[in-house]
Amino acid sequence: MSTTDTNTTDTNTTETSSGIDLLKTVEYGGCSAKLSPTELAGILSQLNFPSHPDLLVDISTHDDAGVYKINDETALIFTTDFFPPVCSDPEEFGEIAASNALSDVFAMGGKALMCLNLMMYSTKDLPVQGFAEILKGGHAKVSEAGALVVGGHTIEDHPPKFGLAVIGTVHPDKIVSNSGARPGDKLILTKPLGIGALISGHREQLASDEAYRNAVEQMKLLNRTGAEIMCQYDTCCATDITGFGLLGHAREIANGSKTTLRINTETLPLLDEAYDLFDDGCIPGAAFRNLQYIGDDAIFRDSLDYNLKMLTCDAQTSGGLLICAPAESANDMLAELVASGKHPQASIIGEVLPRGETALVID
Amino acid sequence: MQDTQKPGHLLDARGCLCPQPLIKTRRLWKTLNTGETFRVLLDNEIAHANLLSFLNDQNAQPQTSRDDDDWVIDAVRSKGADNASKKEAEKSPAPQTAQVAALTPTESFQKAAPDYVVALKSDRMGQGDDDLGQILVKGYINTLLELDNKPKTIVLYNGGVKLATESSGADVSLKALENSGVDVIVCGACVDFFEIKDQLAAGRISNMYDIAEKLAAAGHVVYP
Repeated sequence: MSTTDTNTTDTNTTETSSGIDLLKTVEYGGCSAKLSPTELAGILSQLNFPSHPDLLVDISTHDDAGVYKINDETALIFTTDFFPPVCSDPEEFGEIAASNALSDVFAMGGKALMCLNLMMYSTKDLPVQGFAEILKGGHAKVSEAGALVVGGHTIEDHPPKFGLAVIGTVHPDKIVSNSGARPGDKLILTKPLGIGALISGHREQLASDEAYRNAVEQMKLLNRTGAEIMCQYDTCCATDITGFGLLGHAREIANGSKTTLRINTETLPLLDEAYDLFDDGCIPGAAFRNLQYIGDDAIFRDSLDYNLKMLTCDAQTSGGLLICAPAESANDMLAELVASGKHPQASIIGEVLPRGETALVID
Repeated sequence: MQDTQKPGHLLDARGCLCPQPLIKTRRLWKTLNTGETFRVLLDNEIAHANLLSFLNDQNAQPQTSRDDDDWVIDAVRSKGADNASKKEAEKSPAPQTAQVAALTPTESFQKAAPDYVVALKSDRMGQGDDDLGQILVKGYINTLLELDNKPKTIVLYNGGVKLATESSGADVSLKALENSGVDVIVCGACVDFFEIKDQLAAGRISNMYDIAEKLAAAGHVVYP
């Protein structure tokens, strides 16, 4: 298998947009069955994952990345993510996929160092210019993250997929994992929910252009600033919200930390129009899969608004950080997140409780 | 409950890609009165599973049967705890609904949405004489029913919640307004305070968040 060097494209890519609409390459309509989280968990449980004294974080706590201790000062964070187009514009797709892949490093309190491009693209089916634009977008975000693209690999496939493998570092004593939540911590969510709603609403032509653009900008937003702020306040537990939705990732914290997370749905930050899209029935299948995956691990308040309930299960692409903030500094952290200008909708959405009957209580 | 043998409304969502079956069902749902039955035809297993999840959540008593390769779901429009499901009259038609709308005549209800909220904060109207005030407020609610330009939402709080109880003199009109698509919201804390929950004859109980949201989103609020 040959490796394509994808590290030299940023200097001479064309400036003009190719006019390629990547969304036209993806299967339309969300009825297709996907590998459900339940099935994935079943498959993973059949594999033996080795343990090692220097392996500080592994799949056993459902973190998305591995952390390996090199010495007393440095541990490596190793992670990857890639997916098919979530928007029309190739460059923006590159930016979103890269932001999403880098997010794990930030969620663990780390610094991103190096990235490899993972690309599937068929120049038989699409102009080569789109390939270049995806990489250009990816490079821009890696650069914004303070990291380097050092190479990559491309195979011929259609529709396209793009993402990164990322290496970062973190001090071994300062790893932010999903197993460090303490009762009393406040839950801060840095980005609004509803990405899945807006992507689906855009496809159904039910979302306004403005609201959809807003969702795209949220996906492109790196979690770097949010992570830097959380680390200033000695946060030891956080995760980023992606495909399993708020509840799926909140449950990982609850179980990883042997606590219960209480979420107050009235304080959830939402993207414009997300609520109305759900109210209109424009609820992507992923939200139902996530709800099913949560099963009995959440108690929902009796009169809980149905749309809010489903929005807690809405799959996010490049979603925000869910931070377990020490109670005494939660307000200051929130104020700083808002003041940064990157996270105007950051909000305290609940708290960590001693472990109760279920992992999650949704009020 | 009405006759469940013959569904009141039929929605054929075969050939529709997700999430369109759910969109169509929620639009139909919002046109139905509590207790009305409906039937949805589907040809996709995932769409069927998702719709079942929604209907179970609404206590709509969905029953599934198979018809060759199709799924047939029979369900009942419940009152339920679905705050959102009664937002119908308040919401302006979503942009470009034409793409997915108009599958059956029952869906062709889209019309210009009213844009004002009536807030009833006591069981009287105006000040001067309380007996007169009680007569006036009933007259007002009965008159609302006759208006072409009905409010999208009526909010009842404090003493106003008593208007939604049986034999208040306004309960029948409130119910009729509700059936015509007006969202009638009764303050839950107030109902508890006056201990009249079992006497309610109209409206849906909700919380201050919902009420605050409705008042904030209103084009204008009328305090009669």
